[in-house]
Amino acid sequence: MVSAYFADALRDPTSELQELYARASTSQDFPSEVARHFSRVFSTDDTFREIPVLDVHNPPESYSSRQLVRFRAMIQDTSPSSEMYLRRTTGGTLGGWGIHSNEDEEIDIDYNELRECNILWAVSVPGESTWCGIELDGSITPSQSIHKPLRSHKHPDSDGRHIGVQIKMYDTAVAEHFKPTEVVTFVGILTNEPLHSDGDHELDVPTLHVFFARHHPHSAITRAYPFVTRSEESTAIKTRERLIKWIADQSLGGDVEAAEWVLLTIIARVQSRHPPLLPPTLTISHFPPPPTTESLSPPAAIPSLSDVLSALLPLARTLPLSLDFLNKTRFAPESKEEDLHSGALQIPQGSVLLITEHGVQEGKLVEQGLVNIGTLQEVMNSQTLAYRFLFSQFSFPTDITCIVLTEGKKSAFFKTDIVIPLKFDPESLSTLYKPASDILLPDVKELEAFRDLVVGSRAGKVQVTEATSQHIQQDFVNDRRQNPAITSDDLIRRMTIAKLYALSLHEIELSIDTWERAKALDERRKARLV
Amino acid sequence: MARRAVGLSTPRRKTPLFAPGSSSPLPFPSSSPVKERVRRRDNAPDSDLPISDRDSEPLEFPSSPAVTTPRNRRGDIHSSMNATPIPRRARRAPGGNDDMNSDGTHLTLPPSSAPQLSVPDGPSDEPAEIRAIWGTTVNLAETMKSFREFMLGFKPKYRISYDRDRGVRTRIMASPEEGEVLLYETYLRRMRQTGETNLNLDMLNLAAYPPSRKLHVQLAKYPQEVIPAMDQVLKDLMLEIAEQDQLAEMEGMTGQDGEEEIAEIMSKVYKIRPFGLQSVNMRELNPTDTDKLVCIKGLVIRATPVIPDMKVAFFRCLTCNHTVQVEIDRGKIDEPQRCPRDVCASVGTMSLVHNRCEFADRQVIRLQETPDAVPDGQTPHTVSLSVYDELVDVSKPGDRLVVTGIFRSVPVRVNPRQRTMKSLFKTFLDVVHVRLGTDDTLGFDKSTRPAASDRIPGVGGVGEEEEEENPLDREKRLTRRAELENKLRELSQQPDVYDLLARSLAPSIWAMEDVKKGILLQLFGGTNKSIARGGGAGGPRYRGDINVLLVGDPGVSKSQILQYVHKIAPRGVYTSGKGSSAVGLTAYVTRDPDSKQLVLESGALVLSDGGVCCIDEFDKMSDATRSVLHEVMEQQTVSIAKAGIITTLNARTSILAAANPVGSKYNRSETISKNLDLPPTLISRFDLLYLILDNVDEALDRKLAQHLVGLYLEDAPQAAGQDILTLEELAAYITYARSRMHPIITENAGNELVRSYVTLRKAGEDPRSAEKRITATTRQLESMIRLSEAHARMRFSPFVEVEDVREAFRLMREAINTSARDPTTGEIDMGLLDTGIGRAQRRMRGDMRKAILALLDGAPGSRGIRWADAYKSLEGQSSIRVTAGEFQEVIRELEQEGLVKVIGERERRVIRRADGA
Repeated sequence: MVSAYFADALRDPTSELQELYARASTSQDFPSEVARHFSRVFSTDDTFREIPVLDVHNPPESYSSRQLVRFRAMIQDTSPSSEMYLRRTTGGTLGGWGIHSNEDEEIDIDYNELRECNILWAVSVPGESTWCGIELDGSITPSQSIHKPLRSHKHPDSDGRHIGVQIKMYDTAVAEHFKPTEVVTFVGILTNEPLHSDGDHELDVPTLHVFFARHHPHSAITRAYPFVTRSEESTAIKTRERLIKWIADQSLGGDVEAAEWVLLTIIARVQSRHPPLLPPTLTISHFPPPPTTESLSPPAAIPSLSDVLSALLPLARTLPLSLDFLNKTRFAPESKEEDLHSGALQIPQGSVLLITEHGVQEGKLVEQGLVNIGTLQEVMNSQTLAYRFLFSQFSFPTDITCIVLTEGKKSAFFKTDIVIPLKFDPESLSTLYKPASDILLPDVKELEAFRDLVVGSRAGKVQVTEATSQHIQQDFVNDRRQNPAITSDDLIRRMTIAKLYALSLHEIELSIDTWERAKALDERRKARLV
Repeated sequence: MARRAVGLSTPRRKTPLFAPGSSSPLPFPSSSPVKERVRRRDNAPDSDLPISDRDSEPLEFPSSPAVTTPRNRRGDIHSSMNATPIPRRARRAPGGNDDMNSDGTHLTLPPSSAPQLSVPDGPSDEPAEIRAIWGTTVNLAETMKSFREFMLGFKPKYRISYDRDRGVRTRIMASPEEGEVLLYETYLRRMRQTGETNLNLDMLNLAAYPPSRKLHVQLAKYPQEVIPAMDQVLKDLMLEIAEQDQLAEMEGMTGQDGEEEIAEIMSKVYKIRPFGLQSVNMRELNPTDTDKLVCIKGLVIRATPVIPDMKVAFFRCLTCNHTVQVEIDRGKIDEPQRCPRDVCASVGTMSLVHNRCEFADRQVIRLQETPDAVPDGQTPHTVSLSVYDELVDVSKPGDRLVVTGIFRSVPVRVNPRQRTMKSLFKTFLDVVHVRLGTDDTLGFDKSTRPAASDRIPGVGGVGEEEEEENPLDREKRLTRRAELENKLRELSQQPDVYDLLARSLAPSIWAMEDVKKGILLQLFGGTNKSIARGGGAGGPRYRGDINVLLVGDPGVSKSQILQYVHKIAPRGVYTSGKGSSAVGLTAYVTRDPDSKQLVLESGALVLSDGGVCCIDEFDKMSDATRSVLHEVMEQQTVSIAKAGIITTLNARTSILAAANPVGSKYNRSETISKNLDLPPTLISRFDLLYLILDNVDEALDRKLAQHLVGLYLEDAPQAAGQDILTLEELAAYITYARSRMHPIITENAGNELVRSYVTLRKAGEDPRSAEKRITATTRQLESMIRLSEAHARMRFSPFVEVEDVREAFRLMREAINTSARDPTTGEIDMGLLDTGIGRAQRRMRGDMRKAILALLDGAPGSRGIRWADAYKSLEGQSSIRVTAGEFQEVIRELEQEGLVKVIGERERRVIRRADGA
């Protein structure tokens, strides 16, 4: 029975909706009825995948009006005020979901039939890796035309390829829980409708009338923790080693130590906000600028690490800092004329942000630039991002892991928890900035294992036994006796690292052995600093 | 109000009240009666007057008495901004509603614009009894009657017993007579005397008065119909009061004066402005609230300039000069297609005469949710408000408002030029009442604001003024807060409340109890005192704000403490000394993008007026910026002179600052002013100065490690100690104490203060030497007073007791202990903080001075001693190290006193005993 609905829903969602209304018109809460019905129809992965995808490759204009689509998006703005619609038309048929019988204005309106619908603005997920898209949507067929997004100020990367869609949520109980930067897959009818705003400007925008939505609280991609060992060669420890080697070879000039730190950083996430257990921030110092001889515009060169991270992580973005970029881009979202403009840091939770400093030249940093630096430092320190509204600011929680690449001894702008100087073979300088196509990807199976390890670690949990905790305490007391310069900050850092170390090994418990190894890793890093 | 009513100004009354046939000042002939919703007092004895001269007499208006009255057309009720179309129920009960001239007043808008120009053909004096609000059993005449009874019969005692029934704490009447006053009669009389036309009506009073109880519900449900009815009653009562007063020959109401007064009242439009509904979050407004009275709170983010809103359009026939007035109906003017005069009837000759049209003021305001109302992790919502007439320009962007208004939904047009609509609606509020400021959630110290600043200019409806003093309203708020308050009071009675609060402050930071306690007292603050009998405006004001400086090694979580305080402090502002400029801290002048006018924008210090300003990296601040703080920390003002604007802004803020020592690590063998690159004048302005040093101590280290391991490695991390208050509870506690508690120092406490101060000063006396160390200055005494007051506040005590002073003394001593201890002698010396020079240093300089003089006197001949030699020999003699800087300082002093002379440059300097010395 469901399969019959399935075909109908795909072919003509509007009449399917109307039929449902005919069957369930007495329902007090028809929108939740709709959500229930359609999520049942598309409950299996196979059926869900049949729904056409709305993305940059399949932009809104490639669909005919009122087609059923799914749109995996980041909620950008929840501030538009809600809209009222007539639940039923004068003829007794269904209202809402973009179904309007164009009526003469003199018609009587039964105000008892008015219902509310929430309006959001959603954009394609910023920083989503290609492999992640393929895994969730199936293969990509690049479109011929390049979509020109309307209202591109609503996307963190306003110049990049993206789409922005006005979302109309009729199931208000669900919609009220949506928060900015959350990633949600919306399924509904696509139309082109005027933008709902209180301003006077008329603008038609792609609009999705939602049937139901799937919420992805952490990440749209999930992997098992602990690691599922497939063979002798693919245990977590061995995979980890090969992964570190691969990162080192492909993006860090063979520096295995630095690669290990990169791995530990990219699997970190916010574990708790009270007390704050936040992901550590990493600076890779002495990272050389791109060789000027090969490329005419060095600031534009993106380090290979960026591509390596994209190959491993579902959400990774690169922020190539330059004076111009700092002075002109907005990092924090800001409400202008009651429209929330996005900022470069309005990205989903669980993103890894690679910040490169080699594009910064001497010059003047204007106020916007200073504000931007403060904003990013705030994200690093407390994982909150303040959205600016007129007369008030609202802090939103973020979960962005930051890696800074700098040429100097330490970052010019940012204070990070961990600094590791890069030690690389001068011969391999060019490999640090090679184009994405030159990166040697391991075979498919190996790459899958790498992703399993990384993505799994991000979701993992580690227990600490009483013995280990006693050991750590004793260790700290002993260390301090020998070296009074060691402070509680060192202890906190070491514990954070040890926990991540255990996660990268897909351990269930933090063992004393892992603690010692993590400590040794930190000691080696400190030795490099001097 | 842009009421440029033609023919609507009050005609001179030669005849008794309500006489027909008042002459019209209208110069243009008008054949059609102004489509007037004629209103008439339902008890008017002469209401059966014939409505004369329909089309004939061009120089006269229809002689219905109401013509002399301006129509009571309120923007908020008859919103011209696409007002909500009439609900379906309107159609079902058409009985008697076509009668536009009836005395039921404009019950609602007609369902179509058709009758706009139609001449009422029915009798105008249809009995009022059949008037009912469509689709309901609400009888309008009864409503008016019951409101009339309310106005004439309400006494404060009803409200008190009503509040008592609801469990709200009530005020005790000073005398039984106080409860027997006819409240609204006094209001009405005052309105007559002051010429005020708006009456603010507390809706709870309606509910409290038994005969009008139903009215409360009716008003909330059908404001569209009930408010005009109430307006009508108000006007009738105003006239009655005036007549009564005239009969009673009250002052200014005799003879001609009384006549004029009554005529004036006749000409005025009286408005009831209801308020006092329970406010709801603007997110919770939903379709069921359409056309009902609602109350919301928010922050004004934008206000349009005043929009002249056409109320009545004036048309003149180009052929025959015949004129017609047309009322705006739902934002539309029904332009006459042809001249209505049968003789003329030319098509398309009616043209609009702009300056004869009637306009009213309107303003559209965008109201945004305040941060405290927004659910966690959400962006704020915004609603549109339409305000009219007197309420225009009452609020400015940035104001917090509590508005009462009618919730409207208007259809959205697909295209402005098309008549088709999509079945989509936008919502807005037609505002009937505005109050500035939302009770006590504003979160700043009320004592820093002038008393009358919250009043709404220009509105000042009589009811509202009273409300300021009326404790009834304050008690109403208590219902919501009663529970919280009880909880807080209970909490304050706990013996360990002090420790509990201190523990709850930044619970993730381990230990540092005294620092936390100091900061806690800073948050409570002392009381602001001003000498009332001083010269000028109330004399000098003594600050009650406590300033705290944290100095310490890096990594002792100073910034974390600051961040935490910033979160809970009232009007807390966090700024980093590194990034902020003097301008950013104080205020700057900028050009407003909209108005192109110069405006003063406040910086951190001004913004935190009445709150706490947290400044991190205090030492990294530029000197220019820091100099601003001198003024702020004692005078509590910020002066700015820029772009032609010279002003002094209030910055009554406590400052919580954190600084790192000069060499990043605190040098224990140096004094604090050496360790801190800050001028002693500034340091001394801090009431408490805490040195947070990182000491190695095995037992402490172990405890710290335990705490941290628990915090960072547990699976479900929990804050240290379960028995703590949440951030919200703590903030509520502090806000409550700050707003309610103003402890007074008892005599015992005063004596204790004196004793403690003397003890502190005595600590400086040293029997072995005549020289005195400075351990306490009057600044410390002032600090101690503030701290004691804060401690009493924390206990919710109305008096400062001895125990408060003892704790203040203890905290001071602890802070002085760590910060003002001379590293060379280990003794406490406030001079270190006040002047940067300790007693030991002073003594050493004195010794050095003697030695230098002796050296010079002992030198052979008068050639003097070479600089380097003198320094070397001095260092050889001394048991302690003599620094080159000290040496130079002493020589400079001697030179200034004229005892020695320094000749030569640099290496070749020679010190010589001055001649004649």
